[in-house]
Amino acid sequence: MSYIENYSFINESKRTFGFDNNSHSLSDKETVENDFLTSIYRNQNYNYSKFFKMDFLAKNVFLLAENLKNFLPENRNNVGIVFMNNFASFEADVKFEKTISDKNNYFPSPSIFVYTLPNISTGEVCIRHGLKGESSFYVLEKFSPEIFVNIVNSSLIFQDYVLSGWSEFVNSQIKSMMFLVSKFPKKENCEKFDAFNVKKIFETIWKN
Amino acid sequence: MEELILKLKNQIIDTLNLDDKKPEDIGDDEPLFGDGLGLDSIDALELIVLMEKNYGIKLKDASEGKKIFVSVRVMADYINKNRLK
Repeated sequence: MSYIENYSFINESKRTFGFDNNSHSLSDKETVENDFLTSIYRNQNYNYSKFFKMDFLAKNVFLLAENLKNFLPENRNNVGIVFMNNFASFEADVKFEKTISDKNNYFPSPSIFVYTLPNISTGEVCIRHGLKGESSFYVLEKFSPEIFVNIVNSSLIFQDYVLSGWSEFVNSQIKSMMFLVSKFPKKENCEKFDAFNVKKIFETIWKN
Repeated sequence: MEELILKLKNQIIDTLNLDDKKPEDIGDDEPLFGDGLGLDSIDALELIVLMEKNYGIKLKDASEGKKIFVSVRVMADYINKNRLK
């Protein structure tokens, strides 16, 4: 049996982000100068300069995990991360391709190249929060609560906590979420981590 | 030289995505790696590309970078003496 300790989300179409019942929304003014993810970073006054070097996906996974950092256990040896999406590292792939497409201006960018593997994003979170458990990244055609729960529960066989998330574009706007799932719930009334509850939360977030 | 130092600072900020830095935040003699600007090994590779792309300087040996990427001033001095464009 596994339980949802907490979850975080980013919904660009509604300009909202947050965790559990704690939702923030950004005003038009706050998103004028920066893209949506950078606007969240600035709104929350995070101080992690490496953020600006990350690609879109890594920024996305980083921000989801930041929302949950206060709920992580002190001992991170048994905390893993599983993330899934349906676009892999597409944004970084396109950017990198631009640095090598012109034979007369051929300067492959090392810093973009490192992000052409989607699992760099989960690695960034492991470094940031000192997670020592398993880290994996899956690329699926579409979100399936059943597959999501099965994969995360498999990962929980070998560790006590897993940060697990999904990200997708809908009408060119990012929708993503992350659960902190555990074998042994710390708080009372934790919902079971099963396909029904995941689907319920998933649908609730996108409605609001 | 001062003009090149300022240009180089802007190029470093732009190339390395140091969005939270301004040219005046980077000291002319401040170490680029370690305790100074805190760049990493991927940044070093990106600086090698920057030198080639903007100044036509191709480092024959990547380890040369250790002597060149000490600070912005040392970099600017090397560029002044070796630039092809």
